[in-house]
Amino acid sequence: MNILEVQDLCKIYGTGETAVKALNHISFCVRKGEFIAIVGESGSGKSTLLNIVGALDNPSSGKIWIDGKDIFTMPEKKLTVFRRQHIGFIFQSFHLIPELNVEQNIIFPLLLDYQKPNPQFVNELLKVLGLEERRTHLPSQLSGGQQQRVAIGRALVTRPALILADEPTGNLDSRNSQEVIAFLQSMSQKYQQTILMITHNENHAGSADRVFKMSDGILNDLGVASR
Amino acid sequence: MKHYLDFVPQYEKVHRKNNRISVLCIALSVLLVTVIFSMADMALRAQKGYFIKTNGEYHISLRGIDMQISEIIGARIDVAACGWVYQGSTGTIGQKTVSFVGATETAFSTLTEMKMRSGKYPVDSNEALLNQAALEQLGLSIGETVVVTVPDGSQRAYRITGAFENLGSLLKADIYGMVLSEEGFCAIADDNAKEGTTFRIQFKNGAEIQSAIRQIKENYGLMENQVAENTALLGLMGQSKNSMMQSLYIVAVFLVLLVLAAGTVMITASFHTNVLERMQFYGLLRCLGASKKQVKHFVILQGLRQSFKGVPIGLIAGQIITWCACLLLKSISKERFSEIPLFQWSVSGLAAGVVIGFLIVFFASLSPARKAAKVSPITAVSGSTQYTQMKKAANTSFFPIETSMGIFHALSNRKNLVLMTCSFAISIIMFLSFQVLVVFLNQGMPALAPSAADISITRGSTPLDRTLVDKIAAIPNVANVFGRMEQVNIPVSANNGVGTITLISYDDRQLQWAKKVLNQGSIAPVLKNPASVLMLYQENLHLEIGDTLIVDTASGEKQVTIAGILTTADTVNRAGSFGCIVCSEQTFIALAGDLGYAALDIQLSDVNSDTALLAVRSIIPEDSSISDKRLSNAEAQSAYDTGAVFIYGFLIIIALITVFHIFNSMNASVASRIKQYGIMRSIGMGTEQLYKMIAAEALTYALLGCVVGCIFGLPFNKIMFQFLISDKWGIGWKVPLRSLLLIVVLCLASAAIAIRRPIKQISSMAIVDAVKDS
Repeated sequence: MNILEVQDLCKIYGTGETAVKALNHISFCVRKGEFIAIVGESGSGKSTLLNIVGALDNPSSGKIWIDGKDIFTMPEKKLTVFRRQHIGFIFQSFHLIPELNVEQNIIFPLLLDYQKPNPQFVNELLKVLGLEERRTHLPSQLSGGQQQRVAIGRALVTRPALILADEPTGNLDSRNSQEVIAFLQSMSQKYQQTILMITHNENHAGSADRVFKMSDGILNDLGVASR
Repeated sequence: MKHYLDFVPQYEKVHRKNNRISVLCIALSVLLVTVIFSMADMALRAQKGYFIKTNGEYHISLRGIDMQISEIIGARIDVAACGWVYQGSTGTIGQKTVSFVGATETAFSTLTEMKMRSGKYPVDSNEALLNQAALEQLGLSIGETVVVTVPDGSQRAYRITGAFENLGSLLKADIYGMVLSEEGFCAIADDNAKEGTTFRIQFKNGAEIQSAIRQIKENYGLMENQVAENTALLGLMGQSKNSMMQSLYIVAVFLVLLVLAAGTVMITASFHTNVLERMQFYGLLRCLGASKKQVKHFVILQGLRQSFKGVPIGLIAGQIITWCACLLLKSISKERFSEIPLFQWSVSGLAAGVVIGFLIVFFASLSPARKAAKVSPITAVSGSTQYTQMKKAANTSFFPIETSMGIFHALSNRKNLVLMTCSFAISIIMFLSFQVLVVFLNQGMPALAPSAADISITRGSTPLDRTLVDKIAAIPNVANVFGRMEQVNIPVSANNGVGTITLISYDDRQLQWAKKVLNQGSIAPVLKNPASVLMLYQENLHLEIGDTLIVDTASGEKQVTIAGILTTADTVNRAGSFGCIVCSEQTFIALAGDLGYAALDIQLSDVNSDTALLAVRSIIPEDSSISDKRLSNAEAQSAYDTGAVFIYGFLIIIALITVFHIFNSMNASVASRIKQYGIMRSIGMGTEQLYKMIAAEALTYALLGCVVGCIFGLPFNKIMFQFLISDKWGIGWKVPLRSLLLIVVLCLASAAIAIRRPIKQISSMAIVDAVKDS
């Protein structure tokens, strides 16, 4: 079953002679539970693709279906709720809420949805992420790797259909990077979570089920990664 | 670029939008200060000119001194002009009283409020000036002779050499005014002249008037009551010892400090936000090798450069507003504001604006500069400036997450919280403080009541009957005529004893007007029920609404019930021991009989025309007196208009500045968190939730500001009220609920409207733009 379908996606910045095609007629599908890595040079259009797939940005043309729903036909209000419930984000700069502690940051998307967090699931997440001891700590009191683990927990808490990770190891050292990738991999398997990850690091891409390469706005499926 | 500070203008070029807000803040602060100081300056100049015109340009007057002392005092080095003004003696021309004044021509023109209208000043003792109205009423012209009964009862003939401008006091008292030469006055003076005659002194500019007064008193052994200040003039010069003026000075200093504080808070808040927004940039500077001191210099120079743009804008805008206000005042009353300067620069206003613009910007930028200097170089590379600021997590258990976050945002940054709270609080404090001046205006210079008469007739021995009312009403240009019957010394008894009252009748229209001065109760029962009356408020008279009085009338005892308490009532007679009772005409006739009117009040449709006055004069009984109140009414109304324009003008400026300041502060606060809001949106926060979060933040600032504003503003209001109102008029302080509600609603509404634009901006902004790292 396809959880994500992208069809003929284009994104053009600027007009006329200065127009830049960031995404050039991109189409692909992702099945439920797949862990996909997208690699490519800086400026090749990876982040643009991820932002559009995550409905943070609008495409110039093309369509995207997540869990069978055409996301760009939804009105803004509905799209916000959809994003909140079906898409999890992990950013390179973590983007945690500085005023909230570890546990609050993780359950934040649930609170935005006015849901009562399931304490057992939250505890489980904290345990899996190795953050049990840090649950009341503020982001400023955590290391980079720990902050990114919180961000992973936040992306997982709503059990979204799709997790989008934009260079999640970009701000981490190699040990923490390995750790984060291992987490993503195990989460993908443990919770049958579909993950779309951008990375520069070809080693990390090797952890994925499938690898796409982005080059000048064109996406190529490199097939199954050799782990 | 030769110096690292040369980077400042280039940096500003790129961040024009942010700079614009800071420049606007500085311009508005400077404008606020310039307008208030310039208007105060213009008002002082205009009022000084007006008081010189209406009171004479003398600073003090001495009485009971001899010629020798007056000559010695006149020779003092600090005296610019002096002279004797003889007054107090009266005589008659025909049936009418004439008040004599004696002075030299110089003393008359500089030291008195009188002004020549036509002719020449009297030189011989048998020459005189008459006021214009007297000349017209007596049908005389310059050069003719008038026979006057002088104080000793003899008759003297005076040749009229000229006329002087009418004075409101003469017209109101219905008497003539006659100015004689010094010799002429001394020839007819009686004992009353000793009381009325004064030696008036005008000091030189820059003289220490209070110390001069002390010296004069000590040197010539003068008593306190022998020296009188020209309070209005000295008050405006800041040299009065009058207790009322002293209170006003204290209030003025306090208001000036408040205005300065408002300007400082506005600029500081704007700078603080600016620095917060640029934290990463300052980190970058530190990364590239800038020392803390260099970053500090960078921030201060940025501030001063913004001042160079903002200050001139504020000064020019402030002056233009001042000129417009002066033009407005002149159009309201040409007479009252004949002395107001048009299109003149106010040095004090501009100086205050410049000082505020540069000094406050300098001091206001010191603190953010220190903050900027403390920025760690890591800030530039980590991309996060907020993590280090949080000490504890937000409490999300009481409210929905977005509300909790909003409240936490407001409370977490203590400095920002203080500045934002101060912004709201200072606006409320300023508004409440200036509000006292509105009460002061209404008490000290009240606007004309709707019942104010242009002409009043008071009966002599002959009562004024109803047919006279009809005759007067038929005179062209008479708009309204209404009369009052009055009976004094009517015995009454009540539950707290016996006494007398003065009974006054009002017709239905007068009773309707009386609603404006109704302190408690209602007028309606008095209109319907003949046994209901209104009581005039009198201290220590413990009668309340619903109490009954037994009135001892010619037809036996009659019971009346008090339906309302009035603060003032029109009467020509003295109040009894139980004060005055106002009732309908029917009730009056039932209680005291039809006595005819004791007084008639006339309102004219054209106050500038004298024909109605002449017609009224010709039909009233000879022994009744007529009082022309038009000039004094106009003076009272223009005094009120002046105060109203200034005080309400200040209040409007304060309100506008409040609105702008709140708009700007909220805008800046939202702008500084725009990235964070973007992140929240990316993880599922909806526009409505965003709105609620920012609204919760704004509401927290507004509520805290309102609480702090009330905590400080109300005691200030009370102290100023006691200073200016209670001590003078004995009115007790009450919480100014209406004004308080007005400013609090204005603050809350401004905050509510202020967040709409930034939220709209954030909502329309692509999330991806908001979360970008740079």
